[in-house]
Order: sequence, then structure tokens, then C-alpha cells
Amino acid sequence: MARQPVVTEAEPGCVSADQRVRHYDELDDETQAYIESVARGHATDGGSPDPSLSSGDVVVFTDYYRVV
Amino acid sequence: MSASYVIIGDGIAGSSAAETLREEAPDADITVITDEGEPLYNRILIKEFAKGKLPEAPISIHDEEWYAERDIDLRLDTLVTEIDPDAHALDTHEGETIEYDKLLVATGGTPTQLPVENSDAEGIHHFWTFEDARAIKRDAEAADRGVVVGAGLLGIDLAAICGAQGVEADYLMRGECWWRYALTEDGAEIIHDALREKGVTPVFESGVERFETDDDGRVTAAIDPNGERYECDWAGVAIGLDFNTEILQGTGIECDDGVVVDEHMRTSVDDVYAAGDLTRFYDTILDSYEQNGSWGSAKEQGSVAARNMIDPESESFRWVSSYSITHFDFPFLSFGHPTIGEDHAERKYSDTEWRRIAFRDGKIVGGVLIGDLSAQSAYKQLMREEREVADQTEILLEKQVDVDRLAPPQEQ
Repeated sequence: MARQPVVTEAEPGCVSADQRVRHYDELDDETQAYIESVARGHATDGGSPDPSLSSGDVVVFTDYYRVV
Repeated sequence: MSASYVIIGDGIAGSSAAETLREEAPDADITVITDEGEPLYNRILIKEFAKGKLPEAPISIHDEEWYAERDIDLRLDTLVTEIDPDAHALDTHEGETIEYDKLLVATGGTPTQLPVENSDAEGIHHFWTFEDARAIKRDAEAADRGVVVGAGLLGIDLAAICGAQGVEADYLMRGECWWRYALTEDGAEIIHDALREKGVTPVFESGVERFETDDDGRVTAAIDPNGERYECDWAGVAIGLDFNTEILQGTGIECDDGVVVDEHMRTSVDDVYAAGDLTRFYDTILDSYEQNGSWGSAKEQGSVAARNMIDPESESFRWVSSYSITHFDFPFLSFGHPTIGEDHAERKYSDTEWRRIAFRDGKIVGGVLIGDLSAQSAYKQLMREEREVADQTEILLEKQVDVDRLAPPQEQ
């Protein structure tokens, strides 16, 4: 599956009922490191390494992140 | 004839086991029994729901159709009243007897009740289930002032809920800092400052001696051991978890503040396994019996238990757990067993970055990272490899940990 970039959700309260939401603790080590890089504003080389993350998914970390 | 597997508990451990059993044993009879009225939900995310940041729907992981599609017999709202290991059978509160070839106990825990006056008053909440989260959210939305007691990983969720719901709160702690068994004051102060920014005031050397209520039995204040009075119309209590092992009394299953299991998740009784928060499991990394209450650990234990129920001793549980707190604009992560170390090394890197590593017999057994979690992979790797590295803390505490700079492992 193609790697997908991740961007910050504008408003955590805007998560809709049909969106899939995952918490940082549910992710594997590699994806956790990726999410943390995104959170720290570091450039990433492509996208989430976790193939189970799909476009539209939301990841809860120190902010809410949406897979696009 | 097909093998029959019965699982008590539909949290992540029980559900993970059910899923693995169905994948590995397509023809088996699988029954999942839970005393809750809903199937598996995301226990990590119910705090986000209680904070008002998520709707209900994304919290649910499985619906009843998920079980039906897999021919898993799901019994909601069902209490197990007795287990007879010799007969390989259990009874439910509805008078039904269910037989099994292999049984998995994955019943988790129940929040410990605070043994003080009026601790069962209206407006005082414990937090474990989705139902708890619904009640907490409902009350917090209407509350003005809160009190939180329980200076650990569960209590801070309650404090964060107050902050998110605009409830000014006092967080009453018994010791000198939050999570004093894992943090020093240097690290805890980062958390204290973050709580204050959210309108939650840490109070040290405190606690709750009793609650006061109004004529309707609703909480109005908490009185601490020093006699200080903290007004509140909402209170959250998170002082620990009692493991749901009452049903195991009389079965001969060994319990030691949790169900004792080996690395294959076997209990002391044939054909009975246990998985999840309630286990005291043999940790093959530490070579000792330990406990851990993280989602990932419970999920893995469920899968491992299932595989061993099908093929005994085929798989061992070997896992480095981690648990994060994401309430603040900096991350917090605890890995392994940060409270059981004999030696420690710590460093404060900035006002919002701090790290502490716990060692036992020269090896990393756990730690806490605040602000920068990038070193967690290295520490977890060193834990899995059981490397003796406690004498190289300068390298371990560098911002970026390069394990290749550590002295090669000693030959055993």
C-alpha cells in the first residue's frame, strides 16, 4: 500500500462518528516514531509506515492527526 | 468433535484471544462471556470521549455482528457464578452450564474503592468502563469544581478530563509529587506545571480523609488528612485496580494479587489460561513474575494464550510494554517496569524534557520519557537483548541514543 502523509487535524472535536480513531499506544514502534516526528515538525520521507492506517483515519497523540 | 474454547472477558485480551482462536482453529466452538452490555471498545480512547473530544461511535471496536460473522457465541450482560475446573464447566447467573475444553480468564480489574466516609456519594466517580466514561462526561459538563485523588496513571486521566471540561480542580496527592514511584520531583514538576496550565492544582502531602455531601447525598467537598477542605461538585477517584479474581476462589487456580501464569499464559490448573491486566505473568526478559496493565501487553497476551490453548507451549509471551499520556502538548511515555528498578539514571534536558531509566542487575527494566520519546526504541531494544548497560549511563542519556556506541555485550 502506498505510504500516506499525515497532517494535523484542525479541531479535535471535528472527528466524525464514522471516522476510525487510533491512539498512539495502538501503533507499532515504527509508526509511533513516525507520528512523533510529525508532531515535532520534523520532515518525513513519505508517510506512515503502518499499512493498516487508511486515508481518513485519525491518530490521537499530543494532538489529533489525520491520515490523508 | 470440535474443540471448545470459552473466554471470560471481552476486553482487548479476551477479544484478541477470540480473534486468534478463530483464525487458528476455524472449526472450534468459541464462546465469549462478558458482564458488560457492549462488545469490545477502545479503553484507551474512552478518556478522549469523557474529555468531549470524540463522539461515541469511534470508541466501539467490535459490534455484535463481528462475533456472528466469525461464529463466536457472544454472551453480553452475563455473570459467571462458578467455575468447576475438574468438570471443565462453568455456570452463569442465568443458570446455564457451559462446558469447555480450554478456558481463558480475561476478566481484568475493577477500580479500588476509597475506604472513606461518603466515598459512594453522588458525583464521585471511578473510571474504568465506557459506562463510567459516559457518567463522568455527563457530570463533568455540569460541574464547576472538582477533586481528583490517585496520583498515578489513571488519576491523571481524571485530572485531564477536568481540564478539558473546564472544571477547576484540586488534585490531592499523598506524596511529594505525581507518580512518586516512577518519577523524581524533577520529572514530576513538568507534569505539575502542565496540570496547572489546565486549571488543575496539584496538592502534595494530601489525600482524602472523607467526603462531605449535601442533603441529597451529592458530594460537596473533600477533606484531606490535614483538615483542609476542598469544595467540589465532581470528584474522581483512581487509587488502583482490584483484579477480578473472586470467581476463581475454590478452583485451585493460584493467585498472588492477580492470576499467576507462566510464559505460555497457563495458570496452575490444567486447561485454564489467563491473559490481560489481571495476570502476574512470568516475564522472560526480567526472569521474574511481573504485572503490567497496558493495552498492547494485554492484546499480545490474549493472542499468545489463544495459540497455547490450541497448541500447548507453542508460544511464549515476551514483551516490552509502553504506555503513553497524550493529554498535554508534550508526550509522556512509560516503558517496561519503571517502578521496580534498584538503580536509576535520570537527566533533565529542558523545562519540558526529562528522562529516567530503571536498572536491575545492570540491565534496563523500564523507564519514563517526557518530551522526547525518540530514545524509546533503543531502550526497548536493550531490554529485549537483556544487555548489561547500567555502567554506561552517559551514552544512554544522550539526546540521541546510539546503541552501537555501547560496549559490546559480555559473553555469558
